[in-house]
Amino acid sequence: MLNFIEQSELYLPVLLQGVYLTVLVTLGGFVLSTVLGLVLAFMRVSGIRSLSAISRVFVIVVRGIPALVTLFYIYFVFPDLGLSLSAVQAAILGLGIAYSPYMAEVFRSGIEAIDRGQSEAALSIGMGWGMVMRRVILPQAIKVALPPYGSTMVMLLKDSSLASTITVADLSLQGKLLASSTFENTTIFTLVALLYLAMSLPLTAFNGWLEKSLRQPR
Amino acid sequence: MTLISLSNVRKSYGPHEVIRDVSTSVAKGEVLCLIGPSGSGKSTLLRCINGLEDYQGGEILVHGARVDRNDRNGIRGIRTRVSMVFQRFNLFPHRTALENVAEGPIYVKGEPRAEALERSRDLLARVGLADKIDAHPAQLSGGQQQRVAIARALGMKPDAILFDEPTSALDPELVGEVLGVMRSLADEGMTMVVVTHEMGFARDVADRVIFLDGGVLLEDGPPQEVLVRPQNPRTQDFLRRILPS
Ligand SMILES: Nc1ncnc2c1ncn2[C@@H]1O[C@H](COP(=O)(O)OP(=O)(O)O)[C@@H](O)[C@H]1O
Ligand SMILES: [Mg+2]
Repeated sequence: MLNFIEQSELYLPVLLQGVYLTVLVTLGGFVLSTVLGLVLAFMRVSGIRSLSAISRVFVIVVRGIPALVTLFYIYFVFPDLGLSLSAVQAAILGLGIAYSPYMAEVFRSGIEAIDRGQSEAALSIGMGWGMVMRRVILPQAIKVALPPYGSTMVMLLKDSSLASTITVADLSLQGKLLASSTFENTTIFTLVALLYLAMSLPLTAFNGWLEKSLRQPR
Repeated sequence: MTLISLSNVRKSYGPHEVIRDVSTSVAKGEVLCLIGPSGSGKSTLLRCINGLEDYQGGEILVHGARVDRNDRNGIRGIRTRVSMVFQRFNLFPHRTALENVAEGPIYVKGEPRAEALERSRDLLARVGLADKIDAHPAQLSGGQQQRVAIARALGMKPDAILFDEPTSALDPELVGEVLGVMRSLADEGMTMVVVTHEMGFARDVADRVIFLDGGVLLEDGPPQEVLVRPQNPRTQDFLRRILPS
């Protein structure tokens, strides 16, 4: 145990460099997948048939492709099409796209969980579609969507390790490199696991706090 | 003066025709009660008037303007002038009673906030809920929620209010407080179209009663005629079943 702590002091600084990239890729992926997910969900519930169909097809296609393959595609194929991205940019774009269908489904199920009577009441006082969404549906839908949104965020954090396959030196890759040069597999991979866990806990706590603070006074 | 007119209105869901060639009208200040068996198309007809449903034939006019769901601005204008009260209240659960009433005036009509809140307070007092302005819907009884919903409808300063079975979701002991508010509105000259099974209310308050059966308008006349001396055997049958003899 003492040995583990001593070794940790040695390896942590290197691993923390990886943590920085993991956080960067994860945050970028959150923002992008959330924005894309919202757009897809709005298209789906817009009542405009063509938008709804585009959204549906996008969700089916992207969800049917492994995130890993999406990353490869963006990093290795896009340059041939004239779009060269750095590894970190490609990872953020890839994760953002790969996760957008899950985000879209989270938001859509939240929106569709709200009783039809709510939008009818809002329409009946003369609101347009956008205002119905903003003032009536979304404030209620967010409470429904938050728990699944939280678990999707944790999944995205863990899947950010896929960035290592396109040379992003994130936590998982730093761990692997360090382990293969020192042969201290147990110590290093235990540290890596603990660091991922340590990053997911604040996410979970943040979501729990949000859920509680959004709850109605009853 | 005619406020709402329906001529030869037809509506179907797929192959199923639920409103068949209905023509009638509502004058300013008139209270029209709409009665008929369950599934006869009462809600559908009411919802066509403010464009919550579309219709396939005939014409509905409000203030002479055609009700057309595809005319976005037109339909929103009509909805701000024809309010609706729903069977299941449909209050916004994330807002207080006061915010429910002030929502339309502030965000749809752009009324100054302070003025809208002041007016909303008065409206809640008028429906007997001065002490509940800061309550959320979940903290209110069904009767209180429906009175907030009526205040919300009034907040739009409407020319007419549509009621879709406003007391059907209430416990029997709470029906009276809602009907009482509706009676006082009628006394003040509010134009109302009321779908109801409350025959006492229809008899005492309505200027006219129409009876709908299978989407067809079978009776249209003053309550004494339609409720007391109905001509159509189907109306007689319906009333015999619904009225305690
Ligand atoms: N959204 C809908 N889709 C298909 N059929 C419907 C829909 N809404 C109502 N209907 C049908 O239309 C008829 C009239 O319904 P409704 O207007 O609700 O009757 P009422 O209010 O008189 O009970 C019924 O046969 C009902 O089944
Ligand atoms: Mg009905």
